[in-house]
Amino acid sequence: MLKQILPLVFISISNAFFAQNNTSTPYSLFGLGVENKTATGGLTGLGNTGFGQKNKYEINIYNPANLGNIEQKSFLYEFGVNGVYSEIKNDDTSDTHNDANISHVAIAFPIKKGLGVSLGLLPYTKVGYDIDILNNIEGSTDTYITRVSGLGGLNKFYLSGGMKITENLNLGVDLSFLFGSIDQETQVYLNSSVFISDINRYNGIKLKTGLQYTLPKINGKETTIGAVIEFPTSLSGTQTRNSYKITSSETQIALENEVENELDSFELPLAYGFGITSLLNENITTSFDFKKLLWENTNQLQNNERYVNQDIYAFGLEYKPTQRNLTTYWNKIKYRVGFNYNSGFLNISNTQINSCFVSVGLGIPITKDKTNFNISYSYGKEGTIDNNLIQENFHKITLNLNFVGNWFKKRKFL
Amino acid sequence: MRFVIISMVIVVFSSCSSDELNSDKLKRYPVGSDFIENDIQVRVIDTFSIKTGTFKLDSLVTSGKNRILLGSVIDNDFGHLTAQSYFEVRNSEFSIDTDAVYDSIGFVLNYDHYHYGDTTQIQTYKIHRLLETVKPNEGDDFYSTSKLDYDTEPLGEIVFTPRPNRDTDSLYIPMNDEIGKDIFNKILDNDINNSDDFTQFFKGLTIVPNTSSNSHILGFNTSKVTNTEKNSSMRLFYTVDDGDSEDNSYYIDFAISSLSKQFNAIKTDLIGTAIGGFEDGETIISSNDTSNLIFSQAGTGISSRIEIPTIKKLNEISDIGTALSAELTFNPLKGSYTNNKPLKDSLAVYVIDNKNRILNQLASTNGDASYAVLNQNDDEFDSQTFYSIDLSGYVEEILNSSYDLNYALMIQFIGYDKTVNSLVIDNNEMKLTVNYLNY
Repeated sequence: MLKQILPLVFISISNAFFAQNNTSTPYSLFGLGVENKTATGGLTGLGNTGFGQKNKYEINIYNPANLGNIEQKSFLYEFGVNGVYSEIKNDDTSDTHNDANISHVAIAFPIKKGLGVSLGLLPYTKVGYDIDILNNIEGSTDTYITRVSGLGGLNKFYLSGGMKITENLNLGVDLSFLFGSIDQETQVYLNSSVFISDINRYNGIKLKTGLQYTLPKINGKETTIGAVIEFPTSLSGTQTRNSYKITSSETQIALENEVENELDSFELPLAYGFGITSLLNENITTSFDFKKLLWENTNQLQNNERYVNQDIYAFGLEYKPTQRNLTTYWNKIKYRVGFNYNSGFLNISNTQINSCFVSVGLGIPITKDKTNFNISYSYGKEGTIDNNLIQENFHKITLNLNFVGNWFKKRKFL
Repeated sequence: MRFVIISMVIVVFSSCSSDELNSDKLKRYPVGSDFIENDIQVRVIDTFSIKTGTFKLDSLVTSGKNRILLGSVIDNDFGHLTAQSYFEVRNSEFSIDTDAVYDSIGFVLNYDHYHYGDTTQIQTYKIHRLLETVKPNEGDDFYSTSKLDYDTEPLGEIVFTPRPNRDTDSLYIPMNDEIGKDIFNKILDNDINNSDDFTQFFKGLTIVPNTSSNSHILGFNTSKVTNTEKNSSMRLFYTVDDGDSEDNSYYIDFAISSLSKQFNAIKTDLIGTAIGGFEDGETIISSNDTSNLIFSQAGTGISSRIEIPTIKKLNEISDIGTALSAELTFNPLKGSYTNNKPLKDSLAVYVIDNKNRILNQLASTNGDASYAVLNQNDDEFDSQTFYSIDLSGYVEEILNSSYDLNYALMIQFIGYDKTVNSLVIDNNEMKLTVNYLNY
């Protein structure tokens, strides 16, 4: 009973929580904001590797082909949150920020043997910035401040399915519905205050396909190759603008009321990725992933920046104590380390805004039926303080709760 | 168990989900400011052409103002101004002891502290009996130009040097005993039994200053309530000898019968001044003809007129724009104000049309009245003395109107129907400064 209610609880809570999602990075000014980089299960602790990760007890958000591995009569559901402490700096100033977000809510279950489906709701991008611009008043030596604040982001609802084609080959497909709004408010304070509030709504559909192929064992080492292709798509956008003035005598006067504008649609590029995951022995699994996003083909007009092709390299290693050592609790835990390098897709002032992080993680079993706490800590940086740019150093804790239920068995007790 | 864990996690994360960015709106976040593009422009515009002049309001209602205004001042800029007051007096009590003996009669004037001009100068007030009933020719009001017939022979007079700020001081004009006895006997003989009888017999009074003097204008309290302290009234003294040695003096006060039965006639002679050419309320004497000066004087309705015809051109800057602030500043002419003729801390501003008709008092965007406010620094060069007016509500109205409003502003004194202060504005430094935002 509880297990049936829980997914519903997750979804309702997440709906409430997504509204509170916040992030604080000036780079979220660009594009659709910063991407939610939190992965499902223990993948964040593994440097966000996952294309070749076969795991029948965890949802693999990177490759829908993994859904073909899901066990009959099982039911997976997962809930993730993360907290970030970041320091944002340029060559003469720094700020620090805290924020906490829900990273995802997802469920997966088998339709029949070798065929699983998953659906989930997660933030796709997040926008959060407050930028103050000092400008001169024309015709005067005085200055004024414009504050530009961004808030919001896109959400993703995905529906994916994965199928075991042969014993060694899985194929999967993922259909994601991207929707949400990015709100930008511009405020000028000078005797009166002028507020220009833009609600920019985007939506679109993105298709991803994936495969996982397990190679014949070589020297007892099992190796799985994963690959995904994300097809290019276009997100259409509309803007609703309201602007008003609050005078020094605190009267509000409308300037523009609910003015609707079409926005240039936002183009998401063709992307492909490969991954290789090897079980070196019964204790150690290593993964290496590579992904490329062909942003340059989207030909989107920018101001001072341009979109460039993005490369992501990820490496992860998991250590699992051997079965005979399972007598102590610590030996039941999975230990993970990972590294991720992301070239970024933004080029500003001829500098590519790249990022990297290292991560460590633990997979902590809670009950006998494979329910896990996956905790990871990552430390990383994005950007640079060179060329008057911004660098963000972040500490991030992610906490994923993934449950493996036995849905259909329990149902008998209803 | 699981549910408990989840709940804990939710509680922990929701409680620390704080956005510190919004905690301080004034804190600056320069990080990222180099990359943002916005189309907002803010400019300061202070090159509006300003057309100024002086006009004179036709007449002011001066009845019902709770003030007897008296005096005579002569000024280079404003000519010769005199104030004379007319009123009806009465009492509702008409019973006097039959043993009473008439003593004397006079008029008590209690200062209300309003004064203008040189109060060290001697002045003479003469009090006259009215020959006609205090009643407007038409309507309910008397105007600064109204007058009533009075007996040229005064009932009494006083020559004095005023001390208008002394609370304990008042003026007493002794009056002719002949009229005093007459009133006394008529009451005693029951010829006068009520206030109507009295008014029929004694129509009222006027107090006339020496109009050839250049001295001062003074204000005196007046209200219809008799025996109120600090009121001004005619006072009839009598004695009743009841056999003991105590004070046997009594009096009856005759205060104004109602606020509408008292008014001040304020006359001005502008001959010889730069602004002598008013024909009617529509006449505008351009500052080009008055050495770039404009004039305001309370009591006479002489008013500065400021017209800024090009405000609406701001709309041509951009499709979407707005004035963040609009401030008009001007300087009083140096040397035109003294300790005797001080600058007021604030002045009333009215919106008028092309025929100088008052439309409304200037208001800020929230509807509150907006005044010209004095900014004064007592430095030795006196360069910091100026008035400023928040015109943001006015500019907003002009910009948002679908018509070309040919409005102007009128600068007058607060309470200009019961004072005689004056102001000379030097146009040379007059400026409208607008901060305009567009995007």
